[in-house]
Amino acid sequence: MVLEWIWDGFVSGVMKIVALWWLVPLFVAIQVLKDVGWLAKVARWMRPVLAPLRLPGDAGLPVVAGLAVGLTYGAGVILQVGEEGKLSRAELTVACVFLGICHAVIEETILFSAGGTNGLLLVLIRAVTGMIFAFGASRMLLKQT
Amino acid sequence: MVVVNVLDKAGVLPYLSRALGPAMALLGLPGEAALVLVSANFVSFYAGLATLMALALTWKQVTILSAMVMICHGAISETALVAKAGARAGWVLGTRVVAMVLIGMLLNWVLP
Repeated sequence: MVLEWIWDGFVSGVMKIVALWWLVPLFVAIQVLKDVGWLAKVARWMRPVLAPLRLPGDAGLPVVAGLAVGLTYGAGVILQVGEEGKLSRAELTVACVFLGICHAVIEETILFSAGGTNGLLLVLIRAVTGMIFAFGASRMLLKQT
Repeated sequence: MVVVNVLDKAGVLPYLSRALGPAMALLGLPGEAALVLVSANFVSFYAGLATLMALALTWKQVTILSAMVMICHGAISETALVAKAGARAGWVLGTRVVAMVLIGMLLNWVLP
């Protein structure tokens, strides 16, 4: 019986990874957008969010991705940005503190609105909470630049 | 996923929920609400949502619980993701849990 549980868990783990197939076209798309010069644009839109958190413009794309589509997607992008070495471990942590609390605002809000509450209120609560905690983390982890 | 599934099948989650139940009163929630938080964090976001919808709750309770689940869910899967990305996972999970409890208490106090 325990073996069966382990097997079921293994299968669902493999399925989770298979379900991430869309990361491949995503990475291609990000590269294309970058080459076309959209990265700089996205980064500029996110400046009001990034500046108080002491994050550089390079954090713009992962934050936008995480907010719009979800943490899985955002983490995929952050992974790529992290590998490129543009963000330090501390900067990644601050960005992830914000995204951990506030991400996938479209999908998750629609789902929970179906649960019978005010979706807009929930988004607002998450965004404000995320900013407060990420602000705190940035003061503790990142030096003034 | 292996760990989560074994915990689930072995019946650890209901036990954990019962243990957390009394603490829910601090948040103006019934004891069963703990099951929502536990399934959202140890199984999946969707499991948490399904559990939430199965409970008979007032608007205020649904709002408090929804906000808590949205701030902190997928404690295992999402934390693993963040760690893989290169962030300090302890910070991310820690802030989410603290934020969840504080927001729950704040909403219970503020909402009509």
